[in-house]
Amino acid sequence: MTSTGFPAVDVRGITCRYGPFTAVDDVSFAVMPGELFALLGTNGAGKTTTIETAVGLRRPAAGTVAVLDRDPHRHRRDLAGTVAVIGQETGFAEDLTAAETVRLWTDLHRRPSRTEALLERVELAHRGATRVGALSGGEKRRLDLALALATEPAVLFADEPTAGLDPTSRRHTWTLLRELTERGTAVVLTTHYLDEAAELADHVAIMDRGRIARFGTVAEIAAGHEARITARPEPFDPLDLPALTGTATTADGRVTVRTTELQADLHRLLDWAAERGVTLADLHAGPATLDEVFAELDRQGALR
Amino acid sequence: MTAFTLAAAETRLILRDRTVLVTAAALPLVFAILLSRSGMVDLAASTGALAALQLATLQMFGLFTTVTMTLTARRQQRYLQRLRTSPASTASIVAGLSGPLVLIVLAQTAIVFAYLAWESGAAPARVELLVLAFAIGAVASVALGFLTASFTRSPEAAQITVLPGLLVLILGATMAMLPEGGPMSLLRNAIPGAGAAALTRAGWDGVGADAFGALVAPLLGAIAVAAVSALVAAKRFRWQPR
Repeated sequence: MTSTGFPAVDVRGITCRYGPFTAVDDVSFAVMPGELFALLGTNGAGKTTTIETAVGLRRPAAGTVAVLDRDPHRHRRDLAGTVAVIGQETGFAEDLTAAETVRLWTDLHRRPSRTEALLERVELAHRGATRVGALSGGEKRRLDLALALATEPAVLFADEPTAGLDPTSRRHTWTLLRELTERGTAVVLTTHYLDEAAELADHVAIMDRGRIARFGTVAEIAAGHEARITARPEPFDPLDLPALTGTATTADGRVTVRTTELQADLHRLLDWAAERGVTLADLHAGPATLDEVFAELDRQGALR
Repeated sequence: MTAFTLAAAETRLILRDRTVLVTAAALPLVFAILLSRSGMVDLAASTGALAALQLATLQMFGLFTTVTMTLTARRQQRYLQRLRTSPASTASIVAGLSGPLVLIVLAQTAIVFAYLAWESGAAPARVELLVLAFAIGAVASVALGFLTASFTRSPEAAQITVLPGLLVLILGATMAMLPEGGPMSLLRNAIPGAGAAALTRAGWDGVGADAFGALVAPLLGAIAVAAVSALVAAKRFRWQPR
């Protein structure tokens, strides 16, 4: 797949309502081929409704959605062969086996049956003969991923695809998502795991009460928030710290500096340690993580 | 093609549920035995009237009620939503999900009718009319099932929401017991189930050459009920839970 020059997913000013309740309010974003876009937010922020609208399962009350330059609601069947969806609820027939579910999906898409290979790819080959109802939650998520991979999609909408997965399976899912984007698939991902977004996403939007509260690359979002330096000085005298741009706090023999001047404050701290002959054990310095940005926005009441 | 794929999956699901399987197989046998012991064959106005009631009963429960409950359950499980993200057309999904149920009811009807013919000693006069009655009744029952499922939130609620449809279908089937003609003829054929029942009665008891004209009203009535139900269902049906 090659970049076509226009966004694979182009959402412009969509608003979605359930009766008087506005679930999504004037949301816009675009995702290019080969890009992974992550939608973050608290429960009820509007992420799933945004995904369902972008997939074409709902019609927005206002705004437009274009997937591969077509209206996903009107051209559902045309797009179904090239757009894959991993929903929060898998929607499998519980009495079919995992292998039968994959075969049903490939048959519906008129794709060659590669059941064994697909199950192998999501590490479910040993569960092929097991009924879906007997699979664990994590195994169902992986089966869902197998169905998404079966169609070699140009666009993948993945609503919390790693929810309930163990750490190894999560990392394996990340690898598969990366493989998809490397092949040119545009991925729209919602997740509660901020490390996942930081690890995978080219662009991130943090949703709050139906609106996008922050948008950008992880670095751009983090740039607006204080970076952090932590260290355990040995020997430690809390009264003998250098003058820093940021705010230093001490607890349990550890110094934490929150600063908007990361490089300058790190220099000052290192110079101070060298002059005093102090060792800075467990030294960590870096921009704000998505976790910290999220927590800060939450503290400010921006996510309620 | 996709309809066959879905129908195969649906058949597999039905075959895996032993309770459903045993009930589906036992129902026509129980029906036949009850018929034999109740003396209804002697009491009924005609064998055709009895056949009409039997067909209506099988389609009411085997198609209308089952389609309503199956669709509501499949929607709640998000299975329908998943199918909507596949290239399957609406018609394929409808045909794939309801096709196996129609075949089961067809097999049940064949068994019950064969027993009725043996018990009454009267074979159906016009089998093609029975086939037509079954087809039209099946389309109307499936369409009414879709329509009822469109305003049914959950499988539990379906136990209540099917009641108006059942009452209307019972009323329609009962109409087949009344003599044809009269000022109310057009109106009664507009009741769901009435047209199919009238065709069944005519198919079993036989009609004279001049009476064939009288079948036009039931036929048109049955087609109209099926078409209106299908159109309204297509407009109102929801593929995902609210």
